[in-house]
Amino acid sequence: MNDLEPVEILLVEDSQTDGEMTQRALKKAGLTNAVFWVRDGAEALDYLFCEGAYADRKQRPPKLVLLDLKMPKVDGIEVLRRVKGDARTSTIPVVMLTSSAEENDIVKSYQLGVNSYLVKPVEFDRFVAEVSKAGCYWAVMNKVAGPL
Amino acid sequence: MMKPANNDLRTNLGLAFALLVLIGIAAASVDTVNRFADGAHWVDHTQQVIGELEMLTTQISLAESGQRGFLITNDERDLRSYQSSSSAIPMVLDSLQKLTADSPLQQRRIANLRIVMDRRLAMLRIGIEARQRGEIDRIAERERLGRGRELMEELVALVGEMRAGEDALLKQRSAVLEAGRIRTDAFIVLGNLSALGLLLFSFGVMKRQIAQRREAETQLRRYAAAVEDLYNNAPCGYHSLDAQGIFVQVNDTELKWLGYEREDLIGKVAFPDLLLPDNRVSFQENFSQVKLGTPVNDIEYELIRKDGSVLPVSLNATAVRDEAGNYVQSRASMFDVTLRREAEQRMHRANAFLDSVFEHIPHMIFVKDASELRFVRFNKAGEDLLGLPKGAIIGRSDYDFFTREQADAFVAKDREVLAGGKLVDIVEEPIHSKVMGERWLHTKKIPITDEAGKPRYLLGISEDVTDGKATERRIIELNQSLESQTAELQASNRELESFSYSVSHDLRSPLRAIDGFSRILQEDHGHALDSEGQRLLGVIRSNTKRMGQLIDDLLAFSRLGRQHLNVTTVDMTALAQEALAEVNLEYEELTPQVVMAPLPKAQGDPVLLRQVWINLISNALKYSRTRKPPLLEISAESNATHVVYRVKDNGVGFDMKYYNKLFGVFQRLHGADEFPGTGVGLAIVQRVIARHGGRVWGEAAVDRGATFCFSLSKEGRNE
Repeated sequence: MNDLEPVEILLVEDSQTDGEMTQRALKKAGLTNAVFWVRDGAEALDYLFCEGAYADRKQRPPKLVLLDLKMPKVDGIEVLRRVKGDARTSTIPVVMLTSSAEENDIVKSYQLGVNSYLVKPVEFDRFVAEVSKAGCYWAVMNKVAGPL
Repeated sequence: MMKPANNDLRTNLGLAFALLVLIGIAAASVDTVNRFADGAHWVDHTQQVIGELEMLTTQISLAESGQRGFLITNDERDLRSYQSSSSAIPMVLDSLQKLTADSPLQQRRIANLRIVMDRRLAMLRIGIEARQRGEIDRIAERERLGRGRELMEELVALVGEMRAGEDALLKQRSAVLEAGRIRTDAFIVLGNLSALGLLLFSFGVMKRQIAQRREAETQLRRYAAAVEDLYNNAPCGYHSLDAQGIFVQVNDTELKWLGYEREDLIGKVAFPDLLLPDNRVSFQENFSQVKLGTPVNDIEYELIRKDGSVLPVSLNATAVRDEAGNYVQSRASMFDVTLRREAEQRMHRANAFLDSVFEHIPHMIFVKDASELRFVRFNKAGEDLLGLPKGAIIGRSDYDFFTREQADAFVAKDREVLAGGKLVDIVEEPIHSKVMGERWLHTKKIPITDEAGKPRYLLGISEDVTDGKATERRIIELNQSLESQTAELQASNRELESFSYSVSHDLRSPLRAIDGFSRILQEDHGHALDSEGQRLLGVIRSNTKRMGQLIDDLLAFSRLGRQHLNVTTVDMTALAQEALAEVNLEYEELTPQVVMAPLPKAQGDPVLLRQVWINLISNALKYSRTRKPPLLEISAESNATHVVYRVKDNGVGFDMKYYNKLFGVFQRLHGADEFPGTGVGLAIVQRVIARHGGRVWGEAAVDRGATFCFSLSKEGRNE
């Protein structure tokens, strides 16, 4: 991946299969090249705040973060809290993409400022439809303010 | 207002004074008339004196002319004229002297007159005597003539003086008379005026007195009317009886009470005839007593009204006597004591009621007097507890029944209650009963005070809690065990829920992968698969879909266990209709015939109850979709505490021998091919209703439809 190529979407997903399927869905929506996939919350934070392995990252922040909830090390809720709590990243749209339809998780996410909350459908066709809709809307259609 | 006596006195004095004034006036008038008469007499008297004086002058002139004639003629006739006149003169002088006896001045003048007259007569006589002797001496005669002229002049002057004196006297007397007349006139006028004034004054006073007397009479009449009104309309009955006991007087109040007219009673009816027969002897005794002079008070009688009903009264009577002390009539007053009697009866009944309550309360109740703490009342439960009859308890104290220590303890508590003035609750106290052994009592001791707040009695209520104590211990043990079991159960529930939650989650991810990658395989490598391979992929995908459904249902079911109940009043008719509409969308091809009665409202969580209706109606339609048409009947019935809701269909039903599997999770009585489903619907229904404190049950027979019922408490249940 070219370091200078602008990253449009940051995918945070620990499941190989879900990640692969998400990528496929985004690809179907025409968003292939701009997706960067990290495997856990810690890595996502490093990426977003240019720390650790990503200290030298040159790209602009992503236009959209697709965030899984249940992940090793740092979970999605914590990532969301940090992103929305920091002026540098708070304007980046964050969409939860998770298996959990639990009331608690939904309420917590919205309290922390999530932009959308999507439950991954088991059926692939519906999964593709949901992910591509969200990707298109947030990464392409939606206008956001620059970093504060 | 002036006192009448005073008024009378004034009138009388006025009249008497007026009378006196009039008498005075009359006397003064008489006096004046007398004086006028006197005055007229004095005028006559003066005229008489003047007449006498003229007579005197005439006589002396006659005497002179007689003498002169004789001197000239020497005729005897002349001499006789002289002689008669000169003899008349002293008589006239005497008469004058008499007439003027009241005036010393006139008397002196008369004396002078007499002297002059005597000289003149004497001179005349000398001339006559000389002539008789024949002597004619002209010179002496001339001399005597001169001298006689002088004496005549002197005489005329004297007579003139006397006349003037008499005139002056008359004038003086007339003036005195006139002054008296004027005074009298003034006196009469003033007297009459003042008499008139006095008469007017007396008349005024009398007129006022008459008016006052009339006013007094009017007041007297009014007063008499007021007294009569008081008599008739007094709030008590009045009557008077003659010596035979017959009515002679009775007031309106008493007539009204009895329902009689006055003419029904007066002179006709004897009072005892109006009494209940058993009152009559007592009446005769009392009546004799009254007649003998002793009044009677507060005698109670029952009178019979005209309509036959009975009027209880309280009567006071006394005798009215004439001056000689003889009995004239009685005078009795009486009060209607119906209300008092009723109040007494009510009080009596209330007392009897309280006594009965007191007696039959299953706890020992006792009352002790506050001073010596001896029992004054004791109920049946107390007798049973102590094993003694009331007779052995009343009048005695705790020391007669209990050990010294126990009695001391009881008495100390009693004293504390009486001194503190408020209830003392003794939760547990031991007592030794002769018949029942050692017992535990829960006693409340209450001070009963008099109007001044001074304690008079001590009320004690003791509940035998010996059995209760044992039960209580057992309950405590059971509760403790239940609490620990509940805690265990709650812990295992939580574990189970978190397990099913995470399992559901963790299961979805691989399932999604299976479906997703099957699809990718189909899309990317479909061309490399034959139709059997395509079919197999389809089987994989339909099973993952089904598995996904199972997991979703399981999640929904597990969520029910954790979800908070929001209990409100729920319109079950509207809820069932909504559910029916929603389910109908799913079974569009069916045109079920639905009968639904209005349903009573329920207390519950509307979201969860809606799910119950959806599941039951959906089940009913699902299992009767083969019927033409499917029949669905929704109804409810309620009793005092619960409402039972019912959903009945005409579907395939089920075999009651599998009833125990009906509400289990994932338990199905029909094949998924025949009737699709995961077997969670009824489990959810049961869980929701159980959380509402209700019950679910069903009845069915194969091919003869099924009925599912659930009951909810009317009060609802809050968690």
